[in-house]
Amino acid sequence: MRIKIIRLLALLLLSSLLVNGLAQNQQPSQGGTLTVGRAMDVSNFDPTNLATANNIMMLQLFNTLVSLDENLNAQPELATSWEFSEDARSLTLTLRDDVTFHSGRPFTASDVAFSVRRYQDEQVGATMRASALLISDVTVEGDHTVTLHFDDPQPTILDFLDMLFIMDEETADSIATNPIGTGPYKLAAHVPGNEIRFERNEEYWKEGRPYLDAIVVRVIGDAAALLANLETGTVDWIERPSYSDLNYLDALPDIVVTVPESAPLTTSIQFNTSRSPLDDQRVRKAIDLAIDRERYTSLYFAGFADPMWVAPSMHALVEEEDWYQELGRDVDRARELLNEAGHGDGIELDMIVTTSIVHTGGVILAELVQQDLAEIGIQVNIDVAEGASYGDRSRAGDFDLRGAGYGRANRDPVTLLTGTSAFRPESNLSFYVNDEYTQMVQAAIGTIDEQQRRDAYRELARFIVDEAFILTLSPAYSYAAGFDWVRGVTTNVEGFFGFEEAWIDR
Amino acid sequence: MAWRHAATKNGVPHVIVYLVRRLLQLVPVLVVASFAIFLVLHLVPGDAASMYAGQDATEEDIEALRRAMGLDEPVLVQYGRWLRLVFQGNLGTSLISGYSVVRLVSHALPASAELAIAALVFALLVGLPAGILAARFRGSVVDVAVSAYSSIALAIPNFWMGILLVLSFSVGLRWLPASGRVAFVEDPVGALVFLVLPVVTLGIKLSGVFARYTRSALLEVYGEEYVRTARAKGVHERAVLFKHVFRIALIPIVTVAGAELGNLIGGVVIVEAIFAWPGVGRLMLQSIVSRDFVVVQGTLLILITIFIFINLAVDIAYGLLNPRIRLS
Repeated sequence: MRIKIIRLLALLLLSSLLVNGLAQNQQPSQGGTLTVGRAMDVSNFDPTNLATANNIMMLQLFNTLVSLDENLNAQPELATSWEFSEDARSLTLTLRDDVTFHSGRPFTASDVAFSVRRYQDEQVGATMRASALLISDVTVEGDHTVTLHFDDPQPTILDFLDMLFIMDEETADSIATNPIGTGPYKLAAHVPGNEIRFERNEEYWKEGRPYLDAIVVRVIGDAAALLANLETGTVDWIERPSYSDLNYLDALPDIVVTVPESAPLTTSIQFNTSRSPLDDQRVRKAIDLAIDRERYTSLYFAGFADPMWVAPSMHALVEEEDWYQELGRDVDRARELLNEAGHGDGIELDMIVTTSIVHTGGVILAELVQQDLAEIGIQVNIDVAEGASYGDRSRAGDFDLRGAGYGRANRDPVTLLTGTSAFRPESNLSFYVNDEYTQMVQAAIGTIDEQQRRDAYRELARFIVDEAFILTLSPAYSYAAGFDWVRGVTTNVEGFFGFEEAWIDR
Repeated sequence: MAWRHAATKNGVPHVIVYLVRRLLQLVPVLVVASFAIFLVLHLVPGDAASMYAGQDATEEDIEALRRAMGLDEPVLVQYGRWLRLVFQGNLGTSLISGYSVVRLVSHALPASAELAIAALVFALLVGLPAGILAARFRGSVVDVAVSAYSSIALAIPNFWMGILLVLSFSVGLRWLPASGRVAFVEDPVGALVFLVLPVVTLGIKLSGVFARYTRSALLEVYGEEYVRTARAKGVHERAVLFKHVFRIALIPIVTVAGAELGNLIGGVVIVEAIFAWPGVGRLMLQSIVSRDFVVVQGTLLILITIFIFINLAVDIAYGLLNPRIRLS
């Protein structure tokens, strides 16, 4: 099964690379309007709010200081170069001097300082506030030089700078509805709930970019409607088709399914470790061993994802190690562990999941878990909660098991381990408290030597799998599909789609 | 129309007095309704701060955002602040999108109006001929079929009919889109294609109402002596129907159509949710999901006002159509 999935992914990747390769061999043509279909409208245009709904606008309207490539190496964007101090307690960046905001005002170092402070402002509610708070101070050294200071060594801070979208101080108060960035497109119109129109930024600092004149984003109800709209040519390209439609789409002669290089999200199960019997590591591990990840990925992701036991960024570090390759379903061992923990007669657990336009798999996950755990005598009661109620209950610890995805899954593990409610040592949503874990995470954060840091991550990966306070099941990719004449659409590490290089080949 | 000119009270036409009284009644109705809605919304778990902050936010982050949004104040204080804004002509600003509620509603309302009017037209196009045929051929197979149709149409809930149609025509046959909307000005044919399923879902119950009303109204007029006289004079049956019967029977039918337009607002909310139609119903649903209660509150206030105005217009139209009715 795994070989089949890998072959399928390899084929898709190959076809995607071929298409991209062809695109690279041809001279991109200027002009044209691309019509994009997606299931939901943006919540707002504030780039500090990383709601899934907002993904489509980020890279069109805003730039970051650096951009991580597929190997997580930082590439220049608004910063042309950067240098860490020896103790990694400060980072000095040299900025481009030829960049203007959509308003026409030149971009300077003070905009970087303002953007950092805005991410840190508790009243803004930035998704990445925890990472922004790693920066203790910002010094503007000149119009185009800025230094970030940290209380502790932060050798992985570039990971955050890939998500720090630069905002215009003068217009930031109205950024939710009137976004002014430095990105390749300007917001031309927004009809809430219906349509967004981006138009080419004629003053864009990258020579000759973007190629398109405009992008029209149509908000089209749901996955089934997205598919119908693409098939009928009402739209040229769709974001996040349903996983169950991927095989169908890929078989269409003039449609190309885009396979991203890495997955920013995962699917997982979190335990409430503050409750009995899930405070017992043996019970959690028994559940881990009883869950059939192969069946889950093949049923829900239609074979377009492989099982995983840790986040993709950590998976890449340990996938060749023996202990990791031996992981898999083992119902007999699961029963043994339950017996050892004194629960051979069975347990009853409550599992909460939620479902929405973008997270439709919660119920499927819960039903599969229910079936798997029944084999080892665990009865799972499924409770499908509405989004806000699910959030409240999760934070209040009103659950035994919780079906939940987590983000930042393919970034540097520091961002994952300190910035997400799934893994941060304090106040994680598994209510998992362990001094050893806290110390391991803190040690990894402060390790300047890259090789030593990677070793620390490997140890953490094994610790997380052994302790099983959260069970990673699979990556969740940001797929897209479009006509084969739509070229050059890119995704960044966070899974955001970019149209800076996009062009129409017909 | 005699009442328009003749009826006065202290020199002021009755209709003006009536209108002013009805409009004044609107104010306490809106205040009471908005307070009830406000209280109910705040009983729902979760708030905009926790939804905006996302799952990775800490309790401290959410609490800070709650303060910034003014959600940490007592419910009554929040309601008073909102009511003060309303009396200043401001329905507030969305906590999530940053848009004014008026702007959001002004974008969504045309889509809802399009759906409601199209459903009304559909219901009239189906219901009127069905009712006429049933009355014309009373007791025949046609009559039985129309009665059966209207009974079924009245009994089927909107949400169930919508899901059934999507399963049949979108998922199964792939003939029609399952959801979404194209504006008429952009693509008239595409707009009609997208309209079919939501309009049928919303209009089918109403078509049953019209068929039943038309049938009974026509049968009542058919029994009048002047109709018998017309027939005795040898007037062609078609002329009897359209010249003597249908015109009279139209009065109650038009009244029902007006009244049902108001009731359609409720149906629109459900149908928009099923078909992802970007109207006020969907706006409200999304705002409830994201706990953006300012938008829900403002939208409901506008919908209630529209509902009341439609009922008012129907009352006046009824008087216009039937001179025996006096507004007093």
